[in-house]
Amino acid sequence: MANSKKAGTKKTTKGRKPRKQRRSIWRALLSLSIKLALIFSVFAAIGLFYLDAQIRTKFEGKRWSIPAKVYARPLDLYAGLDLSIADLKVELKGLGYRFVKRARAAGEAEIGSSKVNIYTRGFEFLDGKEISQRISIHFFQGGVSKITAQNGSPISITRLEPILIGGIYPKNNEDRDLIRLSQAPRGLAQALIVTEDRSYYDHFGISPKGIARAMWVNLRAGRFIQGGSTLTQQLIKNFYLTSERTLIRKLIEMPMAMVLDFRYSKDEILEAYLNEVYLGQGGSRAIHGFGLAAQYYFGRPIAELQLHQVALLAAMVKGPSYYNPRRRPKAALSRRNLVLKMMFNDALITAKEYKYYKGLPLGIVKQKSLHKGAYPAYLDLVRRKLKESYNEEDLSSEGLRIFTSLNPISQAKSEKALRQGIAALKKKYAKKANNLQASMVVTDPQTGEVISIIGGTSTRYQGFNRATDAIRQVGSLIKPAVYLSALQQGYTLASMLDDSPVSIDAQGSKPWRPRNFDKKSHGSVPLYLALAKSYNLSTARVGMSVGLDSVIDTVHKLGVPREMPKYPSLLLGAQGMTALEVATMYQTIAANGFLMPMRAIRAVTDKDGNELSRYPFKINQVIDSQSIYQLQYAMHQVVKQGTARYLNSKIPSQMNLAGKTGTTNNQRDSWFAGFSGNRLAVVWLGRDDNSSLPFTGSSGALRVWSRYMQSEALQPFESVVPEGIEFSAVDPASGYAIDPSCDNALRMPFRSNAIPNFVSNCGGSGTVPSTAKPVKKSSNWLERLFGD
Amino acid sequence: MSRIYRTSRLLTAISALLVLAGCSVSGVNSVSIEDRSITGNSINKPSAVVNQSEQVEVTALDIRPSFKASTNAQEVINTEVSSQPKAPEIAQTVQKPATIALLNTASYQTNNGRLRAAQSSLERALRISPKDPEVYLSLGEVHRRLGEFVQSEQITLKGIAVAAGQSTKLRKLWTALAKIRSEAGDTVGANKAFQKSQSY
Repeated sequence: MANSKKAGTKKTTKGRKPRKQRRSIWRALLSLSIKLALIFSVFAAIGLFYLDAQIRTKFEGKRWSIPAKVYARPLDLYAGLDLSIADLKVELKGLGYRFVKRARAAGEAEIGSSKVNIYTRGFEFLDGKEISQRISIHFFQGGVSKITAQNGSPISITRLEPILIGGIYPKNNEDRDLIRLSQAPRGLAQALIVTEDRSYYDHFGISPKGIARAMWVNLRAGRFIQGGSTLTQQLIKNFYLTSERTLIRKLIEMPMAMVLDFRYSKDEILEAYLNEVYLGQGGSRAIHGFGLAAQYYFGRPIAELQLHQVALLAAMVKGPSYYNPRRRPKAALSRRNLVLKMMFNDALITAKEYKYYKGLPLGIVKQKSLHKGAYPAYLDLVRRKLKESYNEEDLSSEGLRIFTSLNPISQAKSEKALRQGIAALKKKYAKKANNLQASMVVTDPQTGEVISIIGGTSTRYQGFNRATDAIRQVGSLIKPAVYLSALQQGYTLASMLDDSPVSIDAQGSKPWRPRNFDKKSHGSVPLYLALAKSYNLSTARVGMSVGLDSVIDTVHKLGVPREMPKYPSLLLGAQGMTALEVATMYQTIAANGFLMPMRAIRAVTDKDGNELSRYPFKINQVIDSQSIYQLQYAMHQVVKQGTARYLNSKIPSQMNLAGKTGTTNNQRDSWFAGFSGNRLAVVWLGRDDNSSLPFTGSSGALRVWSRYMQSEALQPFESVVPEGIEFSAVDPASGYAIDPSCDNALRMPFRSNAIPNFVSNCGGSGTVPSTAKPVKKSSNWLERLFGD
Repeated sequence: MSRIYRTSRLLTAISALLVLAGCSVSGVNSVSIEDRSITGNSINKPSAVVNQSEQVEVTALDIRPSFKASTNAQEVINTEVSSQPKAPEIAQTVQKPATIALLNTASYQTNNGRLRAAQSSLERALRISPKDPEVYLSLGEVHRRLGEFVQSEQITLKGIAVAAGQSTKLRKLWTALAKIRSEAGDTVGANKAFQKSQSY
């Protein structure tokens, strides 16, 4: 067997020798080409494998860096809420609600004279979901009197979704809101396909027909008119490749598009496209995806867009800057109508619809009205706080959701008050009031939440944040800390203080000789009045008697841990602080001695709403209730008869405001810090170059403060009388207790064990020698208990 | 043969596509599609979940009891001397329906073991009715259950401050404080609070 086969083979070879040579060339060629083809296909296979891996990694992994979303506080709605219809409108505008005759769909509101109907959008909060529903809010006497559901049943409490106020962007400044294809409004996909890639659902990633058509059109016109890229190719280009326009890129784009098309469904690819596409530039922020574009151009969620708005977005894909509806409305309108026409031609919309929508204006919101980016100072504070616990990359890429306590209504009011207040000062002081700068912090004294912040006179400018970074001398704003130390050490509100000139030796420099603002001395004054009138001499004396250490300790306890040099001038506010620190200090006073860390953030969740961290309501009692109560009384006297008397003519006395003015040497800083029951505000006016101002704390900052407080729905400051406090009538001229029926009698709070001695007549400065200082340093309760 | 033919046809097709593609690259006078694609190096690596640094004051999600309540070593701030005169009794204000609703929600959430959600609801109630002692009482209770005794005690103390003059509320609050302190291991403080509660 083996032999015969061998022979046969030999024979065959022998007989075809000349043909064999010819054939061997062919064979060599064939085998070469087979080898080449093999190598080629191996490389192609490796290439495809590589591309495939690349495509899958990115398409199935985290596709985009999603900036953290920062939200304002949600507006709680309940019967008894102090809210005007105008304020509610501000909130609804911020949320992009449409004001209509009848609210039929989510995102619509009807405003009546005493009733507002809202079809809410619903929102998933940390502590529960608010459903999308139609509610009626009834107003009566400037507040909400009742809320009812559509079926008329009362709703005890509900809340609107929070306004998105900003984001924390990655280095490439890309911003986007992801959407699902199912969330896309009617017509969006169709409009895109009809304008960008007609055969999208039929081709295999690339469209030779489309390319040929484009080439034909371009050749005939002699210039570039049409591109032949499919939506898949556009996605590949933006998603995977660099922005260079090279042939190599173009070459690699096609096989990638084919692989992508092979791997994923048309709808998946379309969804990615909807989120990837670039649709404009908002400052340094690149607007990507239709979800964000809907917010950026129309101020509302994409699902609520109407057909003409959808057509405009689809129209802009071709050239977001050329067809920018804000800058080139004409070009945008004509292209939008072209898109509508193409949709009509393809029978995607009816003739009636085409006619109707083509006649509508662009419907773009003003960029200024957008809330995103409108709160640079507040966002700055939020970002700082976040950086303590999160790294930059997670903040700008993980799609975190940050819930803050910013109140957009209050922020708008404080900005308005500042603008008008400064305008009034400029009118009064003319050139002397040029180049004014300002900062303002507003908090809720009950919860320690920062409600609004202003970092400079250009409130939308993202620059130096004076509220958190400008360390300015606080002047008399420090005095409450001085008097609080005194009250804690046994002084009473009626302790008579010496307001005569004083000289205090300072190490290594000239003795410190403070002066009163009016350059006079006021003899013997009761403690409460020395604070109310902001007398410097008596303050310096009482401060030296309680000790600098004690005063510094009090400042620290009130929530300002800043290190302070122990100079006597500290007592009159030579120490610098930021407005936010001042707010913290006054916050503790307003909250009856309970220190609450200033909070701007309530909680942080991941993109799916799972809680990552929360910043809870935390309190710590640092000052005893009795001392704080007496201090509050004295600070109320500042408003009633002291340096903030101006407020009496502006705000009803029932509001029981308390506060303190502050003016520094050479009038470089003008401050006011004060509070009602529900609002605490600190206002600073000054100049960045530290030059003198033409006004003091009470003729400057106080005016802005007053404007702001007048614009808010205030609640009176009511501090319940703590245990261990009793009221007694005293003669303010002598500090002695007198009969309450006397004309000069003034009722004020004392520790039960430190009520001044009683004099039977109505006292008066004549009857009691002022040198007696009867209750100057009333003994502490131990001494009183055991006698001295 | 047919293989070569096929290969060459493929090559022709590819080169034709290349030419077409070349033609479809934009020219000079065109309205170009703006290209703001991500550059190669910024392609995202899947990154780890959010890092939390350690020195930050955020409430950890896992619940750890802390046993530092009422060790105000530096000083006793609230003089809990029962001889102190009481503040005059004041009329209790009517609770807002919204607050009642939130207190109910919170108690439902507490009973279901959703203490963090209850905390959120009560903080919301606090913003609406910051002078309602009931809110502090409930929030203190939630913190006690979470083992956060310092906060529990402080919030209850704040409740006591706002409840001045309302003896029924005060009795409840001091009783709650006694419980918190005893759970935190502060027997002396608990006894004081209990005695105080009996004085109302």
